[in-house]
Amino acid sequence: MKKLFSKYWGTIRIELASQLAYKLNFLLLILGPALVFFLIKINLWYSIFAARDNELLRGYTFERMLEYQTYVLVVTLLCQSYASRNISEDIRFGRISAFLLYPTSFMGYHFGAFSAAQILNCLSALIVLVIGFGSGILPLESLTHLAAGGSMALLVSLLWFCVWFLLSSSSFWIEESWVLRVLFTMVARFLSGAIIPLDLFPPKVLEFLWYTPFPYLTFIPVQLCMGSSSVTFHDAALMTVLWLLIAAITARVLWSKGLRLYAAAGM
Amino acid sequence: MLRRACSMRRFLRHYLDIYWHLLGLNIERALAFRVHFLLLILMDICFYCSILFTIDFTFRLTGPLGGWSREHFLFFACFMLAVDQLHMTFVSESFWNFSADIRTGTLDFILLRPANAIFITFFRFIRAGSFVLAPVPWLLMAHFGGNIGLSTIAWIALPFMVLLALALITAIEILLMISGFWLVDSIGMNFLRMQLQDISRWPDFVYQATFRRVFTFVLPVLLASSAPVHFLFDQHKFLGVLYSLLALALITVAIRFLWHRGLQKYESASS
Repeated sequence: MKKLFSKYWGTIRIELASQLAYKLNFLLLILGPALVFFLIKINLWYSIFAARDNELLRGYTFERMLEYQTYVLVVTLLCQSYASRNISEDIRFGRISAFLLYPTSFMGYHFGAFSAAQILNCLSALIVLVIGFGSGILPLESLTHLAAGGSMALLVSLLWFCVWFLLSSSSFWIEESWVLRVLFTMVARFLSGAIIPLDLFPPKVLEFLWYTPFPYLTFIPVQLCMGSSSVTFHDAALMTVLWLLIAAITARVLWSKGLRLYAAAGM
Repeated sequence: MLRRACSMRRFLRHYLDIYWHLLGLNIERALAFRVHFLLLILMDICFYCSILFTIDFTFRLTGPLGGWSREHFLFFACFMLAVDQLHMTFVSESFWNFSADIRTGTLDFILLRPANAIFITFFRFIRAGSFVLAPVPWLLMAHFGGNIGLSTIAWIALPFMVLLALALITAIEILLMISGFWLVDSIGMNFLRMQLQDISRWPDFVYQATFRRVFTFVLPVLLASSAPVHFLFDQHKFLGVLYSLLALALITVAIRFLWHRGLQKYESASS
């Protein structure tokens, strides 16, 4: 157990060093997209509420929407920041050959790297929370709600990791897997409530969405943070674990099948 | 005068010949990977749907915004989709490869070719898969433009406005990407580029004053997207188009200057 932990601790340390080596890249790659996405939405919702003379929008005031979108930023930072990695080149150019000889699996290595990224993501999210609470955008009503939402977001980040690995494994069959990842992120952005809160969606669409993993990716963690979730933490966690298991098992199966096709280019 | 015209013709023909060959090569390459080709089309469809649904959805909830109706907004979205689609097809791929060109020294071979290095660097990769859906945003623009009653001048100016927006956005992005000469890895710059595109997909009046000023005068992506559409809706608002042309000229000069400075910094990793 100690040996296993030291292996992954080594990976975490290397990944931390490499992420922080190019600071501008780190800022532009990890923080930039989430921050710009947040700024666009805030501007958009501000002008929408200004056009309506700050009239209520299905229960949302501008302040409530600002709170919602700030928590979306926190959840995005915690969950999606590792999804920009590209392993299709590693597969195509035969770079994964080395991992097949190492005493650690490729997925295990990336899990170590993901854990390192999560340390930095947690720090970034913490800074956003401190600014949010300091400026009064986020009302500090209950730490229990925040803890529930934060734990849920960390669980969802594992689901994102498995989905990312699953989609990246398709590189054994297709030339580039980035298209699949962009496709998933695009659909998830819209259907997870990252742009428009899901309770503003038509009831029939929302009813259908509950049968998919999308509400658990953003909407539920945010609602838990705000203390207004219609789903309890236990139910939401259970459903997320279910989707996580499905994604992890499929990723594992796809990876094993793909390895049989692997031609180890360059060997 | 005649000699000048002849040399201009030779110049244009030379570059059209090069581009024709590049186009052929890229189409051949795209057809070799059919699944990727189909996935690109699927990605574009999802992208179009997500943009149009978001706007349609927002308007169902809110009503008119900044004096624009739902149809005006959807026309704007389709205008930007047409620009994006041309951008994705003819420019975008080259930006992703530029960072690797510098890091691996592939740029050496580009510099030795008998053509302008900026042209070869930023226009040699064409994503043929993205061109399949080219008519879609134009047809949608025709539909929404008809609904809002665009004038004849606006219809004539439309293709030129799309090209102006494309040229300005591309110029801004080339300027950003040239920073790759000074950075070890410019993948972050590619992400910044994409964030600027995201910003340009909403009209300028959606943004608050400071944000609007920065993205109109410092990194003029809002000028590229909003000014041409404002002109199409109301031909009296031509100043924005003039500013766009001025910005394009200034950025072109800056690109030439920074490219040469960048080449002095370039360490030529392969030699």
